[in-house]
Amino acid sequence: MEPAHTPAISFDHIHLSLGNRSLFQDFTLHIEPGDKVVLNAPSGSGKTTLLRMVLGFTRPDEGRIMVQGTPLSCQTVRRVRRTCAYVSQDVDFRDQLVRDVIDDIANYPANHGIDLSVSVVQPFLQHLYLDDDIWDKNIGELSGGERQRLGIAICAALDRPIWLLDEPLSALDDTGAQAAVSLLAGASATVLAISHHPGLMDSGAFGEERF
Amino acid sequence: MASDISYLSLIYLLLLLVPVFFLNRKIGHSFNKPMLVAMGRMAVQLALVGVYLTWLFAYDLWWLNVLYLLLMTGVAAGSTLTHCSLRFKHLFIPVFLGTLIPPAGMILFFNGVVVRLTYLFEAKYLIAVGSMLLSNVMSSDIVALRHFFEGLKKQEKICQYALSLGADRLSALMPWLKESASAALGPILARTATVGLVSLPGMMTGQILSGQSPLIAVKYQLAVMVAIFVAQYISIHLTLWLSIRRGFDGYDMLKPDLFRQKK
Repeated sequence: MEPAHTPAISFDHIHLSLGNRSLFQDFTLHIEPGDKVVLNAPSGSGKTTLLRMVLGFTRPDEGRIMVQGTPLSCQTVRRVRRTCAYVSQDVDFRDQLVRDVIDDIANYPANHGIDLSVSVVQPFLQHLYLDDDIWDKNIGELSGGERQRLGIAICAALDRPIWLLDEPLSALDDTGAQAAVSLLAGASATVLAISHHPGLMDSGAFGEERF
Repeated sequence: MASDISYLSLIYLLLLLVPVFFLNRKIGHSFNKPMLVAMGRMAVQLALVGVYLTWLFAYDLWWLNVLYLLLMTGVAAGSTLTHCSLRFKHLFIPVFLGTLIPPAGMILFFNGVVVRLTYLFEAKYLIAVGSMLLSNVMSSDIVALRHFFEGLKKQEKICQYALSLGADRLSALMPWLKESASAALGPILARTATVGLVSLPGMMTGQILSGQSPLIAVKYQLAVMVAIFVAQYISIHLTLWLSIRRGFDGYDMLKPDLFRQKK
């Protein structure tokens, strides 16, 4: 059944094969604004691909993806990306100073008017137990967990209406994971996450979608 | 005038390859076949060049000279793409334009402002200076394009992450554009800085051998070195800029069939 109002993200009758392997056959999922959803499926079933499809990095063979009512196409993909904050599995920043990473992001055309100054980003970094000296560290010096927390902090500071998170807690210890879960659970954004971490479901803020 | 070289002398020169051939066999290098093919190709190509340049210089028609320059540019663009394992159907036009425009502008400047020719399309200058510029531009474009596309292919996820964080295509690609331009310009600067100390460039050597005074040869070489550097600098940036307009799809992703399968 079609939803009565505009979902934050819609996957409508998605078909996708990669090589000889069929990943999605007539896959449909609607995520309502403000919902927080954890995708649960076996490894290799296409969860990451599903997130990448929302951003136009992978395209379905058939079917339609809509983000806040906008059908994803090459005409709309940049607008759609501006509504999403993404934390990729490996948090793929270039190896440069954290300060320069954040400066670069602030200077991207889509972020003009968004305040990514120290005073805005620092509270998120502190919430996630990242040291104050992280600004002057190279990305290459950070542990996997620090990189994930930095990705989540930037995602939160960008304050976009949809967050797409690919295993955001996989390298975090219990303290870091708890801090991240409280940040994600308390956000007003729609969150679509791939995670096997029990903390997300235990927080009570997230629902689960199995496929 | 330099004294002529007889055909017999040229054959003597080829005999120098005989010890190289046997040395290759002795130490087990598999260079002999490609070496003979390369030498054979060079001999045939230069012989043909001798014939048609004599013909071209004799007629010296502006349109024929320009046509020849376009033909050389087409070959250079094709060779660039082949060396970078990139498909012609997406990138031939951008690489052709990036290879053509800077040398063409530089030749006109060189002929009109530096040498002050009244006939800007004089074959002797257009073809000789043009081919020198084109060969240098081709070498630097190969380095830049290969560095750019191969680097990007390896680090595609970093580029995609930048796109997801708000970068437009150009901002997302800027780090690879800068790195590729640096990789291509570095050797050019190093070579330019050592001209006269480490090497006497081909044009200068040729002029001295053909009887020109070293001072005039140096003046020409200076003009040519600056022309080559500027043409390479502009061509690297123009070729990269034109290529990113055609090498990516509407979603800012590298076109999946951009690369040719390496044999």
